[in-house]
Amino acid sequence: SRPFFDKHIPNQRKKVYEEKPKPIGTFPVEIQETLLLEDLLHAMNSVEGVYIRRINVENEYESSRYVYRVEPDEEQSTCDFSLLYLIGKILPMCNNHDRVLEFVSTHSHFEYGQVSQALCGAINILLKEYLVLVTQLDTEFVKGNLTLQKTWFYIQQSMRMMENLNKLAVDAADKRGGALLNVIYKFLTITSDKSIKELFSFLLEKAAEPFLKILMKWIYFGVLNDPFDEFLVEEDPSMNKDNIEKDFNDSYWQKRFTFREDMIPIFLGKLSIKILHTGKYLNVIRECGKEIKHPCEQEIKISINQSVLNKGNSQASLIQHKDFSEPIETAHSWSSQRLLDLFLVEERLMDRIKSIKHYFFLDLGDFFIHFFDSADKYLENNTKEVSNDKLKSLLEMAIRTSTANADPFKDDLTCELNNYSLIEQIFVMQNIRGAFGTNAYAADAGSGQRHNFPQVPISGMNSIQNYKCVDSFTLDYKVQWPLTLIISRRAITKYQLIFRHLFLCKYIERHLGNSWLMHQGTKELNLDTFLLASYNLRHRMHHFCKNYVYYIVVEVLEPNFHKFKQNMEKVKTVDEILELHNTFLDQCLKECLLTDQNLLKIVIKIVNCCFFFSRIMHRQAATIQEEDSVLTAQNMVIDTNEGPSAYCKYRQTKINAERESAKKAITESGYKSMIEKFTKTFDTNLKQFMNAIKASHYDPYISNLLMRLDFNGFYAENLLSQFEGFG
Amino acid sequence: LKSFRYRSQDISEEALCKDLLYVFQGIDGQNISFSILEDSFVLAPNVNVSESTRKLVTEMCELGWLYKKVNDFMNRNIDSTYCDQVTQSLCFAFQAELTEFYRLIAILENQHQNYDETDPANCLNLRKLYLHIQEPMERMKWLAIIVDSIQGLKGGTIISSIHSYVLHGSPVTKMLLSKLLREVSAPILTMIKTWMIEGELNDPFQEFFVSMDPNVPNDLIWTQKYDLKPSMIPSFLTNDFARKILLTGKAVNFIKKCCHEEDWVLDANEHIPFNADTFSSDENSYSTLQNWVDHAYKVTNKELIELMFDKYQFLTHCRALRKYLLLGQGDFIQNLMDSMVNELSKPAGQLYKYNLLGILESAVRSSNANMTDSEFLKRLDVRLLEASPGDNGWDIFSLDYKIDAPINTILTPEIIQGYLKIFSLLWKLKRVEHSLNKTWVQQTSYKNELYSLKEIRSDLHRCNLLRNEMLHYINNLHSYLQVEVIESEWKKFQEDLDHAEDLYDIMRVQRKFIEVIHKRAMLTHEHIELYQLMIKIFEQIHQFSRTQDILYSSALEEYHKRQSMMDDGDEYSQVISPDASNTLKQLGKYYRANFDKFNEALSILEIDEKYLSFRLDFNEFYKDSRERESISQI
Repeated sequence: SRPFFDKHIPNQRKKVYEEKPKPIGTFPVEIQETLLLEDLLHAMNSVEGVYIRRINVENEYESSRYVYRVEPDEEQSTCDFSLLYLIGKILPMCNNHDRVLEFVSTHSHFEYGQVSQALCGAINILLKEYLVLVTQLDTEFVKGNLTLQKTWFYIQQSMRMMENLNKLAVDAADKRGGALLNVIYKFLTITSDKSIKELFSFLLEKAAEPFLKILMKWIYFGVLNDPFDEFLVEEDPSMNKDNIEKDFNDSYWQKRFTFREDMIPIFLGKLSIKILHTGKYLNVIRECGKEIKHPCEQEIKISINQSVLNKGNSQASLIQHKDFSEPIETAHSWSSQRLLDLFLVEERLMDRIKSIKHYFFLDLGDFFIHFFDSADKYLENNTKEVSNDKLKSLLEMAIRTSTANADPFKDDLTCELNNYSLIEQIFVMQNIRGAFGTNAYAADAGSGQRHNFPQVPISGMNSIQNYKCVDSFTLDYKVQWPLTLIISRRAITKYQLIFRHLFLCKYIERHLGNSWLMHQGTKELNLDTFLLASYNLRHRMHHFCKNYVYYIVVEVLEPNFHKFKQNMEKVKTVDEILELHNTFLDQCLKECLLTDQNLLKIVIKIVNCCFFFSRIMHRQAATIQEEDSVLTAQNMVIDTNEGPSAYCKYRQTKINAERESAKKAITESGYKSMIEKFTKTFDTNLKQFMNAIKASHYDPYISNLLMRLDFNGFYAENLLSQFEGFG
Repeated sequence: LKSFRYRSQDISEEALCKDLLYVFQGIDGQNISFSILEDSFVLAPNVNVSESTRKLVTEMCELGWLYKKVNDFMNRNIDSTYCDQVTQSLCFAFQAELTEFYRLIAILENQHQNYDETDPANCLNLRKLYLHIQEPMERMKWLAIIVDSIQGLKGGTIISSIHSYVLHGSPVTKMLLSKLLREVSAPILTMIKTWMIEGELNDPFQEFFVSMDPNVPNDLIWTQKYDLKPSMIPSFLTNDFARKILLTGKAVNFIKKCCHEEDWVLDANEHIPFNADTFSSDENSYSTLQNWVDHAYKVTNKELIELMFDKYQFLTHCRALRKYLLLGQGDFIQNLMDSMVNELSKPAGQLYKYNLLGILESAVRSSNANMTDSEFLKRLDVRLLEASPGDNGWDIFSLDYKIDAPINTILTPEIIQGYLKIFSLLWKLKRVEHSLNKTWVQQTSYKNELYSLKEIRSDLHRCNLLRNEMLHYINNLHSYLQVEVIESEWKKFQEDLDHAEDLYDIMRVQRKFIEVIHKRAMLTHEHIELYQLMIKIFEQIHQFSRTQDILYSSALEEYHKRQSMMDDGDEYSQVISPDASNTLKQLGKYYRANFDKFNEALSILEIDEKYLSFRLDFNEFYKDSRERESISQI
């Protein structure tokens, strides 16, 4: 079957008239006028007449267009000059009418979208009024009452309308949706003619109708029902919410719904951000499978401020902002409140974060003591030799036997052995993203591609086997939608960084504590002179570790968390929560020195030095005791019958034996130099550390640490000055 | 002046108008007729009219062509015996539109008739006609578009096709199309209503989205009789929504035909009135429909679930299954085991069902199972499997639980088969445990006597050790299965049941329950290796208990002999049962090997089963001994 007849496209076939009409000039002027009037009425209806016909003109502005001319075939029209002039003034309206018709017939097609269709519908109404006018003129004409002058008078209004409609049609040629509304709005604002203003406000009202329907669906239900891509919000279905649990760089929250920049209506102004957020919030609620029953649903309409229209004063805004700004504001506040409730009340966000803090910030001390006690020997091993499951079961045991058992979310905690050491992990993260201390919004601007960072190959990285378990041990926390929005993989990773650092320091502090215990055992051997250096060093190391851990826990994490908690009580929107949480974590990272690679490297060097030292102390004590037990086995069988004096005697002998063996061990040349070496390394690094802190211009948080480390000026007096000499 | 206007025309405007009025109704006029060649109405070329008039006329003739198209479609389909209901209602909607159109033409005709030379202002001329038909033309155009687009479609697809046009932005068009849509959806909505309330499918032309297979018997109403035809779902209904409609109707049928509650009627209309005629495409009526369907769905399925739980006591059946087939009722099982041992040790051929039933009966009587309602007890049955040569009673015995309609829709034979599979494993385990316990009794009771025989002391010690190891394994396995798997899954099962919304949910939960237990109890195909190892270990344990039997009996014999000999003062020389002691050594080795394999295979599984592996080697005894072995090999 043939396509529908498209009446409005000018017939482009060159008509060949078999019988050329007589030149109009051969008639008397009155008859000329009648003939022209008849043709003019046809032309107003987009039909060519006998004398007034279309001709294709090409000028510098437009490549090719059809315009009406009187007797276009003749070089010079034979028509009466004044008639010709008058009709020449009317004909542009016919041209405009042609083009408006064309616009309407093409732009009401489906591909131009609902706004365009609605606009065409509105223009059609205007065109019908125009048609009525033409028919009236025709009736007059049939009665014989019509003259060109009269016509000119009658069509004044329509001429202006047609002219403006044509202008609109030209500007709106390829526009759709919000962009089209903007074009209409532009015309509305730039015209000062009252009737034309009315015209455009009518068009705007009608054309915005479908757009506002989409808007209402979006802000009241969170549903984006926009089949022709006309709305100011765009959905990216490839952004999957499942990814947010796994991918460090996932930007579901930022990328799932975005502005379609060119579709934002100007008159919505700043409200557009609220519109985006409103729907986004509702969408999250919907994704949780919850029903949305909006209490304050109301029709949104654009209405034109009549007073502005009438008085023509341009002070007040042309569109009554209140009409749609109020419902949008209420919808926004309702949905953000609803989502807040979802997070804070139903999902118990704060409890979650507190629970995470318990574990990642070593908040529950007894839990970790339990864990250390049972997992100590595994943590020293290489990662290859330890099964993650063993650690998991130990972790679970530790949770269940400590106060952590009361935590309702304890089951979500697991642990893993990370493939990277702490420094490497930070390095990788910074490589991917530049400084990772930026907040999520800024950071996402430049990241088109996504990385899943544990898979990023970094040349020169050590393979996994080389790590001690304690270096790669980290906790992990299972988070479920919708909490993943806030506690995203990124946030968890930041928690993990802090945890790993803290965990290592705590672990080493514990080991130094153990060496203290062993040193206590040597007190009675009377070897103070020999052991003094190692006592001294051990003490200083212990001092450092303790204060460092104290600094992190008490001076950084706790106050920051407290601040975060306080801020959380005042939040209004989820975006605020996100930002607060991010700043909280970034601040913690920064104050834990995790953002400063140089400082961090020194700290790691110091603690590692402490760690090796404690290990060596441990080994040494073990050998002494072993020898001791060998001795005991050889010589001594206590005769219990001989009473306490015998025991004393036995003990004395034992001590003597131990002393001998210990003396033998520590007077070996190796021992002394070893201790000296340790002392030197420790001191150098400590000095570097303190100097670096000083060089960082005494950031307020860090100067405290410095003061604590050197509270009685010991280092300032001895160490630093002494080393200054070395250069 | 007038003469100029029509100066060169053979024909008056009035005549043209008259012709056009006919053409609008698809009828040839005097000068305008339908040309098949050009597929439109054309003004006879020999008529001399001005070019502009001809153009005007041609434009208006388009209306005639459109009308013809629509009218042809209606003529094709108006005969109601051949045409499906949706198309019919579309035709009626068209009919209504056309009636409006006829009215307009009649008015125009009237104006034309009243033509009065003296009053040119009121007469009908081409231009006025042109103005008047603008709107009808637009409408007719849309009707024609729809006629084109539904070519060859039927039922729900027609609705979907029209629905896709409703999104048009222009309000006038939108109104027209919504009206059409409303008319067209009415038959489907009526079908939905009958289907959901009465469960009847009144669909002679196969245009509804639920289809029925009349050959399927009533037993299978839920599972097989009804199905969705996705292509027929109108696009304004989501698939989920259609599924709800299907389920509701299915539930109604199920309640009426399978649960014998013929009188039950859904009174959903009381809460939310549902009227197919007022439906339109806008949000409100759609959400009304949605609410209505939701409500009906909830009420019906709640009723069905209540029937299942109250009248047919689904949960009690499940409890009974758990008690008997999943060995939840300990004293009963212990009783059964004790009394069955002798009977089941016979070869399969000598086993008689009535004997076993007798034992079962007495086990029930002598345990707390007696307290259960007899309704459920009488369903308990013995099933003897197909015996292959060499099988004994243990191989073919199984408990069974008989289920009848309508509960068997949920507890299908496959589900019961799943229960039986679990039972079989647990029963085997129980048997092994039983025989190990017997060895302990043996060891303990003859301890004093036999330890005086110095030369077999080491063998006895080995027995003791091996028994302990095996018992450790069996106990852990047993508690894992019973406590960690069955009980925890049972708890989840009950919770899930509380959330079930329809029968389908219950079935899914029930299936999930069985599947998860199978998976965690290593009964699925992917764990076949583990299962085989487990069975092998069971076999070795049986062998062990037999061997120990031999050892002990021969040792006892020897002991008594020596006792009597001592009296005589004679020398004793005989070595006691060397075979048994060798077998014992072998057994110990093989057992350890199998156990290691089992444990290793376990430890690479997912987390749940891994805990079993930790428990089996909780103090790393096996790990250490493995290491020692490997060191000693070096």
